[in-house]
Amino acid sequence: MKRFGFSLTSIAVLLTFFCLLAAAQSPTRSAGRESTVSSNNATLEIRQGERVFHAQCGRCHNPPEDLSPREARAVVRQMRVRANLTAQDERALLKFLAP
Amino acid sequence: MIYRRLIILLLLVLLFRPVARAQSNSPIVSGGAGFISTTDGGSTFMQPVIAPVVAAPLGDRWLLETRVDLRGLIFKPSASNGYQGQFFDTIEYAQVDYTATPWLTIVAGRFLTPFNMYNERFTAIWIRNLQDAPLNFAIGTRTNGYSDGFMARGVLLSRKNYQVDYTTYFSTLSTINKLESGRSVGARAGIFFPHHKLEFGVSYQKLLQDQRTNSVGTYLSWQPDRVPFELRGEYAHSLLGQGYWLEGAYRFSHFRSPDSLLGRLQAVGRVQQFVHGEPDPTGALPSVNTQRAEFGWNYYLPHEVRLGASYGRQFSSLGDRNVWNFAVTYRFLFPLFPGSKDGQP
Repeated sequence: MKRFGFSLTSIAVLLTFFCLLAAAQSPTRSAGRESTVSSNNATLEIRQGERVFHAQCGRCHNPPEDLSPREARAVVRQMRVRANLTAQDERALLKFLAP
Repeated sequence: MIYRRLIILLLLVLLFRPVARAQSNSPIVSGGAGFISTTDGGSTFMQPVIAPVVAAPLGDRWLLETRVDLRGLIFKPSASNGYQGQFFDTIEYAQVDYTATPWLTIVAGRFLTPFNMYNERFTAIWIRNLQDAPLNFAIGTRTNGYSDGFMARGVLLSRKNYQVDYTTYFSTLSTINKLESGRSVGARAGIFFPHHKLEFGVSYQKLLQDQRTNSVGTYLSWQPDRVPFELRGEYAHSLLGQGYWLEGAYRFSHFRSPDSLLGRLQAVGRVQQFVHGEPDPTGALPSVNTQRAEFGWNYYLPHEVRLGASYGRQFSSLGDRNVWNFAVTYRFLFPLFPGSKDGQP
């Protein structure tokens, strides 16, 4: 019984360690210059997405109000087929609608 | 005991993390609802409409999508009778889309017939600027506008200054209730200049049954950069007749922001002409030469609600008449399954 308890503790410690390790490997750890560059890239992508929206989607309808990231993904997938968007346009639109 | 609970909790978190991520591809329900009142040549009828669209992405390449039109028709058969009602339910499309390559998407199922641009882009009640469909709508769409079969479409060329897209399809004859379609093949090609927001395209359809007619069409769409104006039009020709429509819409957001009292207002005008050919067995096309001029206002309220009113004057040898339309439309969009709004774990 004692051995089983020890084993559970070890597993819990190991799992916690792996969770912490996974969290530490997330992109949020990048700092300084790297984060500035990625922030600039993200801004450029959002602007590109805005241009795509006004050029492609704006031909037929106004921008939707209050679109969550979850909804935006499905909407953009659907519009890729309906409006014959390129894969690049799809990515840019997603950045614009769900930054 | 506490360790066991801790482990179970951790395992649950680890197990459901991928599921929570997969929710980012979660299906949505969108579409439009509205109420349209029409007075055509003195007789008035009203249509409450709801047209939900369900879109469900499956992985990175597959998408299931469907739109159903549920519509009531409230009308007075004669001046002495009271109002009567009828209900219509139509499956407008129910299709599976597979993005095979960056330039090819394969569609199977029931889809909107891709002839010119009106049928695919402007049949949703919350999108169209004027509620009445153009006089030549039935050319190339075989009256109902739906096809059952296969379609291949995508972007053929994408450059900085222009983009070429294409659509080809085959539709089979179907007499299944709610899934009726005609046997036909067709293609459409368009070129779009993103810097000028100018689009031009051509369409072709060959009906493979009955009179085996050919239909050809062309369309144009333009939105100048400096003013909130849009111009679009179509021309279509077949054995049954030929016709064009040209529509211009100006949003007063040029003077103030789009959300200002004046900026929410849009003026719309459309002219159209139809020259009849062989008699149309379906009766969807005018039986005589017809011209119509329309003018209307749309007001975009907050929360995706829009009010619209339009007046049209129709001229034909059967008698000139007035056509009035009043509409309130609402555009909705929400996740199909409840959950966190952003779909993040």
